[in-house]
Amino acid sequence: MNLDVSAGLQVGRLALDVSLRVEAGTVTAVLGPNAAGKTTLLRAIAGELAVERGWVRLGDRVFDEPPGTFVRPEHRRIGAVHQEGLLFPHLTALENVAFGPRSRRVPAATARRAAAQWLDRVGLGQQATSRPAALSGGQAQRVALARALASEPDLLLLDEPLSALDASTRAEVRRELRQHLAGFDGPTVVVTHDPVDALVLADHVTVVEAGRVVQAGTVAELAARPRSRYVAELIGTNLLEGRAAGAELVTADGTTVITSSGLHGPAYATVAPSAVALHLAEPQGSPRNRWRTTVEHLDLLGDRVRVQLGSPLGLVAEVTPAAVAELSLVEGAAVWASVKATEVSVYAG
Amino acid sequence: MGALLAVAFLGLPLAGLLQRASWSTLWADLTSEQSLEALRLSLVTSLAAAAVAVLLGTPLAWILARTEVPGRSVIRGLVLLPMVVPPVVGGVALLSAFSLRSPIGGWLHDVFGLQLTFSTAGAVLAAAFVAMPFLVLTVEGALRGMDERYERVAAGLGADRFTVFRRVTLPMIGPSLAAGAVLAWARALGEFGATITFAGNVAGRTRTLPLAVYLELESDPQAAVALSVALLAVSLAVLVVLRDRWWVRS
Repeated sequence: MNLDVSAGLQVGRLALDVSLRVEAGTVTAVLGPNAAGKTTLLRAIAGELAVERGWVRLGDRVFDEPPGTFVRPEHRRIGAVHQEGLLFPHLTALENVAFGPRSRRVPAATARRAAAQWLDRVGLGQQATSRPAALSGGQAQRVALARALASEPDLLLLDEPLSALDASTRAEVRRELRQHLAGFDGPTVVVTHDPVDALVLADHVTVVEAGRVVQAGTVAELAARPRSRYVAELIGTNLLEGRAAGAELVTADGTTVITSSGLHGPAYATVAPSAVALHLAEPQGSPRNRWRTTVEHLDLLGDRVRVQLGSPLGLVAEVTPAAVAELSLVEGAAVWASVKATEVSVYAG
Repeated sequence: MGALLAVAFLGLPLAGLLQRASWSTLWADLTSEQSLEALRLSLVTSLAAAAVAVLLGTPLAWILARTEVPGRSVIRGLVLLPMVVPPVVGGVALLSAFSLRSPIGGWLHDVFGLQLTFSTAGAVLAAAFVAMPFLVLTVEGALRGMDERYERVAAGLGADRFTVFRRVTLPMIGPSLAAGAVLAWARALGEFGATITFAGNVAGRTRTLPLAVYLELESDPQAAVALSVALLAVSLAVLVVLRDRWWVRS
């Protein structure tokens, strides 16, 4: 049973126009900055919003296809997990998990037995009688997942399921979530702005910006060939966009970058921050690309320092703290940046 | 100075009432046959009126808070009207709608043998008319203040609208519903104008506590004061029960 979505709708100032296909048993991450339309997309799939153009289909069932068809949320059999959990505060953990089956007319005793099994599976059998207020953030998200799975959904939607958790809990819940998703045989859509979530949980990634898909593919494809500044920043590389003419790439601001490619036409190129070298004086010798620029910003990242450079290109360089001291890099300092032609990876745009 | 005057203005009548009360005969005054009858009738009519307000007012509050029904502002105006209209006018309005000579009143009488005027049912109707706004406003406010996402989650889990309301909405607005019911009940308990105009002042049928107080003031002022003290005690109790919602909140 595959999920097939082509959602066109306007919500406030956001014009959403996104297509998405998710095969049964696979996980697709919808990645994007805040207000890109990710949650709107989920709400359209769940039936909380109706699409104005396009369709929402699951297997051979049509959930939404204007003008004629709209299936109400309670009849879609979709399991959802929200950022804040949204466990019913007046019900115990067990009653929360049993809510889905009971709403589908499963006898109360049977529903509670199934709910208890689900709580055991997420490791919270002991918390069955606790109210949500007595649960930690991580426990609440586990109960929310159990609640979604206990309703025996045909499709799972996870909306930033980990972002409300602290860092150590997040890693733990993420690992468990991966196991539970592996055991789910329907399609799963997980909305996130954290690339680690996409990396760990998803088979495919769809990147949405300002209501549109800017890139879709496997995580590896995205990492190798980013097609937007947002994706490049997520994977921590420099992205150049322009026209290639043999070994030259001319960017939009008119800067010429020497490459080792033979490509012609619109192109993207990536330059790893570690491949950007910094110098006090104009470098001599092998580097084919060198620019005079300024240091805009310094960021300590583990045992490396990320140096945001100004125009041209606005590159990010990654150097050692020792190099920062040696070159007396401070914000506003003038430096030379150089990149070897072989370090510029060009692909068609 | 003005504030002091205001406090005195609000407090002096209370002090006067308590000072005039004849405490030694209070119990006897309250348990006299007429008093007990009025007390019983007041309890019955006010509780019935509160129940009517809950049963009819809660769905109305839901409609006002959750739907885009056409003419919503007109409906809200209708809900508020009994709060601002003089109760005696409300009584006259009820009389014109439900008296035996009116079309609806005549029909009720011919088909069901039901007479609202000069009957306990009429007293309940009059009290419910003035009490309902308190319930609707309180519940509507609670529904608007509630996080709607819980209702969406419940629907996503397969619950139909009624199940969502019964298992999620109602429990989550429970405290406000209770507060609205208590408010409506207190208002119904004190109802005078609409009741005496519409249902009349018939001992044992429509003579509730406020009507009894009014009547006794002529014949037995001591009993009237005793009944007033009893009503005052109930009002204070309501204030104490609902204190978290108003005065201690800040």
